[in-house]
Amino acid sequence: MFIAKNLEKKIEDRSLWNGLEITIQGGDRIALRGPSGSGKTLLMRTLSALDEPVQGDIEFEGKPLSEWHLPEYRRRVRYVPQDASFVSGTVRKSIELFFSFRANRSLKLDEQRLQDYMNLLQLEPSFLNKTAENLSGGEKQLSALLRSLLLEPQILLLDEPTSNLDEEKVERVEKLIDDWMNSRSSHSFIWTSHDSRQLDRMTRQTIQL
Amino acid sequence: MEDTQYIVISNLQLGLAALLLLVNIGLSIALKLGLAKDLIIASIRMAVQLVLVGLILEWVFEMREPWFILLMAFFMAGLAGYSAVDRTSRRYPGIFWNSLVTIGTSAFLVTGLAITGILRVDPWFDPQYMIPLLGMVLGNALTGISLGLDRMMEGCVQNRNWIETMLSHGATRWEAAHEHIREALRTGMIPTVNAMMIMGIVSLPGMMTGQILAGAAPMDAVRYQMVIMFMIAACTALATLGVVLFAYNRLFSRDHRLMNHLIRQK
Repeated sequence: MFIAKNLEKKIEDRSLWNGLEITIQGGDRIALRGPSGSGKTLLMRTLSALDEPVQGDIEFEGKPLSEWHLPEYRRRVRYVPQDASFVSGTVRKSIELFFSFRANRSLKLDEQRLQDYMNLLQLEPSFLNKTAENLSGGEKQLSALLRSLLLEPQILLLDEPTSNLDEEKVERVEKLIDDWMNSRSSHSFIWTSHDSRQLDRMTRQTIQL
Repeated sequence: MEDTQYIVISNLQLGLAALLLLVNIGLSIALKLGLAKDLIIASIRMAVQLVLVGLILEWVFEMREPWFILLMAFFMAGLAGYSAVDRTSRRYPGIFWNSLVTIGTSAFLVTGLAITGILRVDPWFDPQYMIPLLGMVLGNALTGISLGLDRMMEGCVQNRNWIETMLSHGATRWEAAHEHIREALRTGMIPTVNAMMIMGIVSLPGMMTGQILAGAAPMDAVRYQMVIMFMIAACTALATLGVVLFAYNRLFSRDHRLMNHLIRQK
């Protein structure tokens, strides 16, 4: 389904990844491990086509990246950055905004699913009316995750998705991702975390940088 | 130039006007404001620059050669394009070229239309019309370009996370940049719109004052002022839009990536 071959990136004369190969099949739960500075975030950005590698090929659903209309590709291969970003306005508005993009027009905001996700994360309905300025770091992270899941990606690229959350919420997010994985066999994810026990719990395969 | 309707200023009168500044310089020294040096330098610069421009203009007016006037017009446009970027706090490769092309195209288009289609100047290259009209249009478009560019680059740098969040959720480059394009256009147009809003209320515009001093009937001067303001607004809007779209095309790649690494602090 997803194949990346011979990936390499250069940062100021330093070469990263050394011809890395990644294959992702439906149902894969992949940990991305590596010391600080090994380019984990850069790799996530590269896989979501926000950055270009200096060399290497990415192929998704049998088509090379160059043949994809990137918004369509990114709709399916979704990068959720560590620092969730919001514009002014409510959480609901920011979710709805993303459904207005041309690449997402075929999708419809599923209110029932939103409710289910929020229940799972133990978020009050009033959470959707909170404005961006009033969200804590953790709440931003939860909203970003909600937003990404509702847009029905196939592959999630999760960059430290629970770094701003307390223990209880971390557990909830893990449960949410478990449920999402079980809801469809084509779903898969790559997850980075500084918490290696979390990676042990959540993942089955490893990419080591 | 013998039958002028205005009082020709002699060197003595010019000197008397300069004396007015001495009061300020004296005050600055007495109160230790540290403004004296700047005031003196600025006054000397202004005087030298204006005398030089005056000499050049007299020369151009006497020559009345179309190719020479066009050359001068190109030189003015080039200088304006360069100055517009010189004022921005950030740069990207190709920014000077973008500025030159947009300011040149929009200023020549608007001035050309005004001279040939509206004022019907004969001959079209008459420097008495061409040079001051082009100069005013360029001066204002320059501000629009530099404000628009600054705002666009600032928007990309400050909102990188948000822009990339949108892109990574399926936004096209246009969808991700749209808000910043709009803001940049608005910022570039604000001085022109504000100037039109208060024109005639807070102060009399310089060109109109000049014409009245030179003996024109106030209503004639008003008509000229209106024409020039419409020209300025049209040219500034066109130039700002052009340069912001150029910047958009450079900073948001065709394959929908934000190219922030191209932006450098000055």
